[in-house]
Amino acid sequence: MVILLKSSKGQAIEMFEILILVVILTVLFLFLNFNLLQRESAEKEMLARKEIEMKVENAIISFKSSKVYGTERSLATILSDAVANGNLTVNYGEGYGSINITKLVTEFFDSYFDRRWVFVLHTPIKEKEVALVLDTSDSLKDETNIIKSKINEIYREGLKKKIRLKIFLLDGIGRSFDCGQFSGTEVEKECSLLKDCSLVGATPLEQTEEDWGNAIKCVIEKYNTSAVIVLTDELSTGSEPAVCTNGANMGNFTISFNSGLQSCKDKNVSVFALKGSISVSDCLNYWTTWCDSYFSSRLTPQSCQMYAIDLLGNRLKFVADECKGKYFDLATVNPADAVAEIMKIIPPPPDVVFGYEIPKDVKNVQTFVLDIPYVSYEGEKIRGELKVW
Amino acid sequence: MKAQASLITKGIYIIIAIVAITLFSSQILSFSSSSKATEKETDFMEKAVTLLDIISTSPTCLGYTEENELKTPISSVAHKTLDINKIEEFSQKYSDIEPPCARDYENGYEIVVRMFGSDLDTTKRYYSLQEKVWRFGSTNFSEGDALRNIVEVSLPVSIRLNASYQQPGEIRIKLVDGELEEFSGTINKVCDTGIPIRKRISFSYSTYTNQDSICQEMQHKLICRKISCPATSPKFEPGSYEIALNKNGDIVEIK
Repeated sequence: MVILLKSSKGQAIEMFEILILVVILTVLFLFLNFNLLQRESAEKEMLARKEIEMKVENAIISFKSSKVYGTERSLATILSDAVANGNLTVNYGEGYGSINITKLVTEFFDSYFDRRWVFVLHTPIKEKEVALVLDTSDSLKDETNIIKSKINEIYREGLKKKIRLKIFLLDGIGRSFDCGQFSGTEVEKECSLLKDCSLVGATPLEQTEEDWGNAIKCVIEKYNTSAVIVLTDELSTGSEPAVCTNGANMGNFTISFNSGLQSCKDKNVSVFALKGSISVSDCLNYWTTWCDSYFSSRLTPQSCQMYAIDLLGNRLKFVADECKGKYFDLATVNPADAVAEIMKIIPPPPDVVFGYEIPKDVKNVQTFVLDIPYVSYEGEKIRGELKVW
Repeated sequence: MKAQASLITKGIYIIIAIVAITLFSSQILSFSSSSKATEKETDFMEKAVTLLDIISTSPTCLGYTEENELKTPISSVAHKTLDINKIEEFSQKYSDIEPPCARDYENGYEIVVRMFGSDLDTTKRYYSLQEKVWRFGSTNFSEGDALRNIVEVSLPVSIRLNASYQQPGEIRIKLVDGELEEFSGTINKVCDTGIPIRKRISFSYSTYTNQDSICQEMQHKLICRKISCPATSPKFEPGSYEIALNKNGDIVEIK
């Protein structure tokens, strides 16, 4: 009986060992199979990639050398001309007419890659213009001088990103400086007095040098600027009516403010607001006489705090928030640093893109360098990327 | 009883070992053969690309060359620019045989050159060019069991129309490895070099020479390929043969 039990126990152990062996062998077999299959598919993928690489290399050579019938210039040269001219339709003069490079590039790469390509040229076709709108009242001379001290640096940094800073001075009978303020700087040529913009002043004063609301609308709609920076220390059209009447008379503020706000929202233009530093005592100094003579009222510190400081900050912050910009209180931030930061925030204009969007489900996208010569700068190249899938 | 059980267990071990060895070795063998096939495919594709490169860049093929004042030819090899005059010439001269500038004695090929059409409106003038297609090289290739490998590769090129224009286009090769291509390649080699060759060659269908072409009789089809000089041979029935090729005058004799 004992021998029989021992024997069946030994048999069970042996069967168990066989089971383990079978399991190990099965796992090994599956592992090997999986590995071999993976290697095989990797080799096939490599072959396909190699084929695309070869095709793209030759397409790039052809792109640089082909002169499509009627053009007498290579496709790469016409594209380079387009970048230099800031227009994808290049005008080659009265006798010849113009060439639409988008059509040529699209037809060329479609012939080889059939809507499975995108060509990105890392340069914008046009510069972006940013307007720095300055309230020219005397109280802002200090801030303007600080900005001037760093304006060359700011301007150059902007140009590197293809962003051109243009300065617009609000004109009016109370204007305390003109473009001579920037004499000797690189932005002098970019500075102009903002005229023909239907600027208004606060009634009964007709001082238009503080109408930044209408100025926002004007630089957006008339000058096509991509972003606006406003430097002021007063409610649009002037703070006097509000502070002198404790808010009962807001002058033309609301109309001017709303017109600027509406315009930036309609045209999707960012507005950045810089609030010049103003204190209650400044307010009392500036407007006590004004209130006495024009509004026959006594100016109070409370009115100054509420309308010249709090309401101004609140409105500037509101327009900056609504128009996807940023608000800066210059009581705590250096004006030049604020402008420099804004120039950093503003995104550069978009690259030139031809071709098609990469479908989300595509995994194998191959990228190739396709630089083109920069006709305006000898020896320099415009970086380009051709993506094929 | 215990000895009996141990015997059964040993038997099972041996069976498992045999099954495992068979499975693993068959797996490894199948992978090595498939990896060899992939390698062969890669080599074959590379051969097609090399041939395309030669045809599109060599001055003796379609590559455009221009002469400077010293009459020294300057090849535009780097630009892969094809000369439209040469394309025209090749399409007429080599309509049924591979051109001698890129002859392959193992495979046969067909080349198709396509020049893209274009329409350009400059608002002042309108330029229009129709798409044009040329072909040259062999027209008939091995089929059925006689066909071993086939690959098609195309590369972008530009085609020089004149001093002002170079139209984009593509050059495509169909490279074929088969019994007819191997046989005709061997004959062409003897024809071009005059060096006698002995070789083992197999045919899946009846094959024979017919003056300056070789033909293969398939069940319902006769496929003939042109060769570069006339040849004489017996009719080869399906099977493997040790053949000797000799050039006698302008004729290649096959025995």
